[in-house]
Amino acid sequence: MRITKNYAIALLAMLISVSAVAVEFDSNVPANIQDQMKQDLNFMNTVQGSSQTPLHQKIFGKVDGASYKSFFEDRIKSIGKNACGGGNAVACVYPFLGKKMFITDNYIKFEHPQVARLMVVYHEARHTESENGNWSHATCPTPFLGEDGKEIKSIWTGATLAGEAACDVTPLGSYGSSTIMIKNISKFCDSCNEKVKMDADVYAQDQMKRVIDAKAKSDMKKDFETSAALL
Amino acid sequence: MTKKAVLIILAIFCIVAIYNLKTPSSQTTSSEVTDEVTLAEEVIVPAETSIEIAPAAQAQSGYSPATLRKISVLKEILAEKNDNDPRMDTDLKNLSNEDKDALVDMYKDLKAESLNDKGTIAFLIGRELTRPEDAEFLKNILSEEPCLSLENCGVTNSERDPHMDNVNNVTLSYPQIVALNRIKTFVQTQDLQTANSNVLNHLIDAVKIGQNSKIPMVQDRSKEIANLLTRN
Repeated sequence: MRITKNYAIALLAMLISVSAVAVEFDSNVPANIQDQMKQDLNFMNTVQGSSQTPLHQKIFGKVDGASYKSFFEDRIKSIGKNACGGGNAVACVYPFLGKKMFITDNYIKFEHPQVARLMVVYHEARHTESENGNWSHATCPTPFLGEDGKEIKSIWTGATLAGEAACDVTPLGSYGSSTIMIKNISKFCDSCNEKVKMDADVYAQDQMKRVIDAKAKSDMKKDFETSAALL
Repeated sequence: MTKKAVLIILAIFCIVAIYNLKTPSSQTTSSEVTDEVTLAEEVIVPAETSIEIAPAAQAQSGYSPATLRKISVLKEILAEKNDNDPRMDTDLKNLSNEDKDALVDMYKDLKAESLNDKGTIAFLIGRELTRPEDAEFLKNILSEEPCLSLENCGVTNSERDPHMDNVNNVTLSYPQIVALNRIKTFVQTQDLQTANSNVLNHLIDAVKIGQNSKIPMVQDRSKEIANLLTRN
């Protein structure tokens, strides 16, 4: 019987997850949504990484399940269901409700990869930090141009992000931190399979565009080229 | 790692799981919260593949039991929506030509909105890009009509979520983004001077199609690969 190293790591990671803690769901959260979210969070609780970047160390600690579990549970105590303003929203938090997250039917209705769902959930968890002003977003510039100099807008509806509170000027905000998290998963996760690592890289690349401050963006790019283990 | 070591790990896993099931979790404090869930209780253990293939199904598909077994594993993984299933890197690696043909057939049967499933198949074939047919498959993905909304690829959804539209936008083009990711990896890791010219030609065509895509992020990533190809 031939067992690969990654397979063994995954088994061990699952073993560790057995001692995971409880997450509370409101009664109005359908069982299938709960199941999916539990599975997703369980995945995060089992992550085992070989290193991390300095910004990841600062925000989350090591690339491992214990760090991600603590991060999430320190910020989210219960999960309810809500339309989150309607539209295509997957999850949201309301600053005045403290450590409470809401998820929508879109969490399972839409075919997002697991890493994308988790990026949204961890993004929202960051928003509960009242001591940091809930990491309120910055207003996206008008016009909001991409690196190619063209305006960033929906190709199907023509809607733009210009003037929307949907950007960040720091690596530490919700867009920056969730990008840093999945970028580190892409680079350092030993318990992740190749698809998950690819997904993490793909979604990080796009989420990074929401960080509009030149220095913040530059700091993140430098961070991604650094391993804390080498410092 | 030996069989014995793995069995020990599984045995410990079972003991701790049983202990966990018997141990009550912390009490709920919020009156509106009625369901308390212990995450660990539903951990899925990826067992060694032991999927039985019905003889009728085998005869109908024309594929061998080994290939049908792989397809069953993939279907199981996709149904569970657990992207990190380790079988992705074990059972679904070292694909035969027949396996890849069966995956392409499976891809064709998926509904347009099954974006993660489609991207997963693109990943599996693109990870082992050896035949012209594999490259052509990726090219065909780049040629697909864009998906207009996550709910219904044929209809534009005017509703927005400016906060996280970027995630939705990547997912809308996920099969194409994955195809380009695999092409980029191929270009970066293979000696293009000695690569199969039929494979390379399909990939170059795929990149050209991507450059003319209506979707900016597909265009951007295709241009990036085109630049890499020019340098090589």
